[in-house]
Amino acid sequence: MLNENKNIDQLFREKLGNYEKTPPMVLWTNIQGKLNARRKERRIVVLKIVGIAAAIVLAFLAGWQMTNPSGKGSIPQNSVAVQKDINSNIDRSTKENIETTEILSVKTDQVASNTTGLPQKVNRTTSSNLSSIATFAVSTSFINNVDGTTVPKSGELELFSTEKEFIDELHQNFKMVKKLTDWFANVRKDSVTTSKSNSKVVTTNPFMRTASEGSVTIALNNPIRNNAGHWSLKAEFAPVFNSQAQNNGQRSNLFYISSPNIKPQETTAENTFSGGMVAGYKVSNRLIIKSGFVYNNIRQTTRNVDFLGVNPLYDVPGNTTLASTPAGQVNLNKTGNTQMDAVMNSNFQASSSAKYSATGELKQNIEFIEIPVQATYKMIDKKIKVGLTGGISTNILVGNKATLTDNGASVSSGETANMRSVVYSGAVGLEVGYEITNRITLTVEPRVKQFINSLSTSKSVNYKPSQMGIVTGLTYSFN
Amino acid sequence: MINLEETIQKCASGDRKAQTTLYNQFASKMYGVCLRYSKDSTEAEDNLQDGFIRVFTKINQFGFKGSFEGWMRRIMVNTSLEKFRKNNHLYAVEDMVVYENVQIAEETISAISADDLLKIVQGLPPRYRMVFNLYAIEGYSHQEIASLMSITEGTSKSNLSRARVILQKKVIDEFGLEKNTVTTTLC
Repeated sequence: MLNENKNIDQLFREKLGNYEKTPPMVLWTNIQGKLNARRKERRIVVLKIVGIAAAIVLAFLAGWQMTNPSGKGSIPQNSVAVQKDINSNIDRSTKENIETTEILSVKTDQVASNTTGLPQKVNRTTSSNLSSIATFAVSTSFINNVDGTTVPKSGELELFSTEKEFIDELHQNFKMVKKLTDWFANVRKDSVTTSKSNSKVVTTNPFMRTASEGSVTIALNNPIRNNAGHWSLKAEFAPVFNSQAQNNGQRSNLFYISSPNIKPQETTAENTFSGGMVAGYKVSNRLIIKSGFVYNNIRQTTRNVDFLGVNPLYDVPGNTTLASTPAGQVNLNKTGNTQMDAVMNSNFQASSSAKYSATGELKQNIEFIEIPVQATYKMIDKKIKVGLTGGISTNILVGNKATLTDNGASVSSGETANMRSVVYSGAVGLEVGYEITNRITLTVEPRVKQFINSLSTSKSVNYKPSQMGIVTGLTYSFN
Repeated sequence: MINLEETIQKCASGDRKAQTTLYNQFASKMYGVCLRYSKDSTEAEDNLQDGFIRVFTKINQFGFKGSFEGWMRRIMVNTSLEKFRKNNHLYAVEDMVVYENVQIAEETISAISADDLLKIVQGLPPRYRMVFNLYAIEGYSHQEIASLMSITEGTSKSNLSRARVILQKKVIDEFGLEKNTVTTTLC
């Protein structure tokens, strides 16, 4: 006998505790599909992480490479920069340089005792309109070619045997070099300022020939290769005009009826926007290498898309609808919230069928995170700056949505099929900048971007859109 | 014949075949669990699908310390509860007749099929259904239910009580039993 609460519980526990029923077969297919989608998402996340890591490593390597001379062995520690000094007076510098050279040419034990006096000598050289760093201007009389001829003022400057000996002495006396290095580190900041205003800095291996005009400036421990002012960070935003997608003129094969009254399927590209952060490294006075992260998206609308709708008055499961677009086939597999108004405006017979046919508007939104590697060559670098930018980008697919609407009401949602996870693109632009302050520059850059490979993995779809953007940016220089 | 432990390990490494094997082995049982917590088969299928995806993505967290079936069952229950929380609407419960001191013959009990009872359970208001399943069938305490559903123990007890009333009425109504006492209550 069953009585009261416990018996009710018992009844249901006994009958339903181990209740089993075979689920529909389609369920396992759905589960597999979702598991595959998750794997794909994970792969994209991994790709993103790899991309970020690669960008960081590249930036680090670039920075490291730039801050460390390419000389071999122990040379970098004692590398000598050759600097031409445009404004120097050859005759005067000759006298002073000889004096300076004499100081540095003394024997090791003498150098040690003279170290404290060195800065004063160097400062005297600096005051004579040479670089403020340890500048050892070598006159044309001092610089001799291997064959003994004098180097022309406008010709190629070289380091000669006498200098090599001088360098050798420095190598042999690490202590002295270390002291010099420390001192140069202190005056490094000044040297950059002076170099900017008075001279053009060329850094080289001590045994490398370097083109120059006028006197030669020798600095120890590569002091003129100063990183200050080399890094910059740019925030950019751009309205993007996407290339017009080709009108494929097709109706989907769902309800194709050969009639002149039926409008052909029509795809138009919509304007979007992009934005992100880009870090720049000044390789030379004119060349900047940039990389960062930029969000970008492509949108297109296809009109007159046939679809099979579901009358909400009837409880009929949604159907899979296929639509063909220039970006590939779109799978719409989920019935959305069909509004009655929308349904009533469509061509269906509510009383006769649970399903109806209609034409809708298909919107596709494809989103990317772009990792560009760009080079900007500055043609004019004054208060107004003009530069030519070019580069390639890795575009990682982060969003892929498609929505079918019927008179503004969402009917189905899905995604464009066979989209490639990673696509590459090339871009060129002309950057015009205005230096608001020493650190901040406002730039405007018309930029054209072209996808190099098709956005679709499908062999039958070759979709390589181009984009035109007016990139507005604010660049902050770390100087 | 591959044993369960090996199948689980293969599933953890993403082996499709092992996943199919595991699904085929447990799908019916888990579908039964989901059906009890859902209002209809469509909702149960959704929960079963989400539950299995969770099983396969978290299977590497199974420590082989207890029953794997129990672990899966808990996942299905939790998935159903989460779905309930997401769609947590207040359902108006009609006044109903309560039968007291009802006696049902053993023969009648054995004649009631599991499918019939499932329909009755599925007809319960969602929260009553959850509490009744958790308490009467899974064996959770009111304290545990309160914690799982973010309600008070008092609410859990009250919901269980009302669920029993509804179930009792429906069983009696469905199987044409005599009414000894009739009272009316507002749930």
